[in-house]
Amino acid sequence: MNRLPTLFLGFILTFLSAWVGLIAVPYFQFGNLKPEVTEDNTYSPPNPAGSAIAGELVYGANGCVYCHTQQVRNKIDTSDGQYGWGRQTVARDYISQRRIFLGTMRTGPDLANTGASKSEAMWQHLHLYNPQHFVGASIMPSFRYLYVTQKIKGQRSAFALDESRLPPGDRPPAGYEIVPTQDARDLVAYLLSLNRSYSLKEVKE
Amino acid sequence: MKPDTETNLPVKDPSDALVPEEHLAEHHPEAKNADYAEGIDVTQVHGAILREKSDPHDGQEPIPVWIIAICLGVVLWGGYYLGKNTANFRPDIFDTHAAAIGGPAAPGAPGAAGDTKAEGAAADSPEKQLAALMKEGKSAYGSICASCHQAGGGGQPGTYPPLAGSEWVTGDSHVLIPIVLHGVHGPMTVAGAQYNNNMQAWGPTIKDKKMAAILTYIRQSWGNNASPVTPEEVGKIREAFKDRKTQWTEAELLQLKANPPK
Amino acid sequence: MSAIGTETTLGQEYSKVVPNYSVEDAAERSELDASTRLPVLLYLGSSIFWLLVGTAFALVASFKLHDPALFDNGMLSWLSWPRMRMAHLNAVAYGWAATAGVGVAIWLTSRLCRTTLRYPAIVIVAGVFWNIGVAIGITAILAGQSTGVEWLEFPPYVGAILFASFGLISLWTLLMFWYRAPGHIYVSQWYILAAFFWFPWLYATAYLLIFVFPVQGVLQPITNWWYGHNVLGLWFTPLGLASAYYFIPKVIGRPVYSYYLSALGFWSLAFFYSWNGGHHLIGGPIPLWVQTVSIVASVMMIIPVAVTAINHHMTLTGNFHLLLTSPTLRFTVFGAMCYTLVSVQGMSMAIPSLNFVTHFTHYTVGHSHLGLYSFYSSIMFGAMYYIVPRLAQCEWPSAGLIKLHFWCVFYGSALMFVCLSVAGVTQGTMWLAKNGDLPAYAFIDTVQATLPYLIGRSVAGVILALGHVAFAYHFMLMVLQMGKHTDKPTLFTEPTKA
Repeated sequence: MNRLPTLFLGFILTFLSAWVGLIAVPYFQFGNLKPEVTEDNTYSPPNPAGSAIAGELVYGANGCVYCHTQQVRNKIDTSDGQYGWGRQTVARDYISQRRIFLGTMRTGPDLANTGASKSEAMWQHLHLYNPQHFVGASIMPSFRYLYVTQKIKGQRSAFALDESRLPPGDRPPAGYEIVPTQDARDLVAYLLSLNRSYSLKEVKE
Repeated sequence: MKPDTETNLPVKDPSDALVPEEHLAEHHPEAKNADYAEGIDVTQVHGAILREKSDPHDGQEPIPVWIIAICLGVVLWGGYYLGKNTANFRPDIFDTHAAAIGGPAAPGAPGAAGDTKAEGAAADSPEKQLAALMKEGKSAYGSICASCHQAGGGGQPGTYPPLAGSEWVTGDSHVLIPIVLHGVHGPMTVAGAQYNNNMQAWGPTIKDKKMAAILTYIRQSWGNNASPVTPEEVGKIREAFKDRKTQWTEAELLQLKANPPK
Repeated sequence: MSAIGTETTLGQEYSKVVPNYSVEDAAERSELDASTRLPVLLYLGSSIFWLLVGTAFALVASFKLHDPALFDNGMLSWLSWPRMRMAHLNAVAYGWAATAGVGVAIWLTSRLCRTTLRYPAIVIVAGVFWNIGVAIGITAILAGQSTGVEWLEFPPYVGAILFASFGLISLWTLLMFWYRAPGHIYVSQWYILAAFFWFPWLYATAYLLIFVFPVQGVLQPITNWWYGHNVLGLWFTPLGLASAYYFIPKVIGRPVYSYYLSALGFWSLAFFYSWNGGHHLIGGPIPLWVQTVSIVASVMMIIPVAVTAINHHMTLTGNFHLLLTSPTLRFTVFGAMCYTLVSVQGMSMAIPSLNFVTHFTHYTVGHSHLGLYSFYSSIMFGAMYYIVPRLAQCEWPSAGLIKLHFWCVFYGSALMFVCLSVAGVTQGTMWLAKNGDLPAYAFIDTVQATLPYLIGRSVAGVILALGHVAFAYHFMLMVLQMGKHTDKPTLFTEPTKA
């Protein structure tokens, strides 16, 4: 082999084939899916709003995706359906998100439906603050850097953590409160928006 | 002279001076002043380069026939597998079981329409009503409750209490319903074991009918055999405690058990 | 430098025993190596720096995984497990592996094009900016600016710096081919040219479709994994194979077994590897056909892998004893054997029935380390053991340190692979185990079951770190001209008398 143009033609053709097959064709085939709209004007999947959108970036920056998937596989080949993560997910479930965290590791459970099964914001905050208090054997790191302990000025903050639900060692001294930062509030809003309890016509039960 | 095994080349014994000093002094007097690395003692400095063999080139052995056979075999298998598992390149099929279960676009597949019909018919008789409640309960349980209490209702030893065989689940519904409506926290004994965890309040997110379905399902599954819960019952309890904002504790629940709300 | 040819008695001796040996060739090589000295040492030196940094991140992440409250109990954002994990991947992939690969490729290009390094300023500027980009990117990850897109964690503005530096290097490669001495283009050069041509295309596609003009829904993960897999398959793998194709025949002094096998291996790799990306999403919410074409392409990888393995094996046949003495050959052949192993493993993991066991588990992590570490990094170590003495103009000071490095790499990566594979299969089979209709184990039980293996992985990490420190120290001695000034190579054992 001593002809550069031949070599380059080969480089281009081999790579282009995959570029067309795995990027271009999917783009034209399912790159513009629409939500299902019912008569009463509900959208499936719904559009997340406000804080949940900002939360996507917090989820990414803090690397949640390295331990948690957001995809539930079919119930026949896998046990995904039986771990309480909701129904199988399909392409259309992801069209309303800006950044998609399908993930490739399940060091922790799947989160595709966590907004349905852990729908209380306070629980999510407390669990981020001290995971082991809620799941004893968990190896999830604590994310207490997303929270600040501050002196109560006048009235207690509306967002303050309910310290009665934390172990005594984690409770702030009298006159202090633990408050989630904006990042933590966005993150929890995002987690609560992960809810696939609507149905789509391509989803089988 | 012994061979250098990196290259199989003869190498001078290091004890032999590469270029004898007398030779150097005679022919290259400038070597004395030269910087070592750039020095005239080229045999030493460039020993690595000198002992190298020439750059690699290609042999011309033909490709063995058996390799060609294997390649062809793999390509054939690839074609067969592609033909079988691409579902006509449809964008709405995600696994190989779609057809077996009734693909989404397959005519007559059970879908949303079928479910509505089933619910309509449910009004007919108490048995059918119960069956519909159980079906809805099972599905809701799977996506809401099972991540802690597990699909089999066994819970998680030490962390999440079981529902199967739990006296709280099969006992009075006027105690069970508040647990789910407002949540519970702190130490609690369930089926003979001690737990200390937090369950959130589900009242704000689960409607009466769905909650009745879930409760009926957990009271009548995995060997549990207690009476069904109706949406009306849930509504009544919700109304009775509509001002409650905090989770229950075990002590409060035991008190509630003794004094049912009116 | 031309004085060499006339003055060397050693060269004249070689020419008597070695077929095709010419003193002029040696003089030419000396000139080529002199021209690549500064840029290549810059790349190799910075890559080893990032290797140490990446290893440190890896150790923190590994220990924190089985001991989550370690050090700070979540109080320090920059020390949190996920950020350590991301910093580790980016330091070793973009800092270590890519920089080392480019450094080795620059040296190989000069040698194989038989032309002195032209426009060294381009290479040096690109290398400096690449390192600045990696440093900013890792700082940004630690500061919480990561995108969370696997393999593309650097914030988009860093991506632009990396792309610009890389574009310069690609351009430089083309220039080198413009000036090359006429004649045959050797197989290593195909791999290098292809890698330098594909990577900018690949990077630009992923960068534009994920950050600049984000595509909808699952197209993002499809693009992401097409990129993620091709970084390994069409960037690191070609650079590793280019190096193996050069150093195996070079050290033993025989031609590569078959040109035809080389060609078949190269073109089948180019065609099939580029289609593999979708196998990271098997069972996921992407249409079945995308999964299927990637599964088929993954299994087809048996062709390039088997062909390359046979080609290398037949080249080596009869010279296995050299593995006892030559560090370059031992590292390179160990890497090439791991390439076969990791590729066969990768194929098997794409087969759906096995994928449903191994997907989402530590098994996949073990697989990536077998690929990027045992295969690719070993080959880079081997190449450096050959190249650095020629650039630093002294020999490695200690055979013992090289030995220590090799056995740390060998036992460390083997222990890590075994631990992660067993952990992964344990997780996967526990998830699938059923008790009637229900999962036999609660999820948290499957987390608990992996703990002993995660601790084993930390031990493996410590072993690898020891090897890296030894290697970095050794490299530093060479750069500081504290190597042995002798014409004898530093070998594992003294050659036996023939």
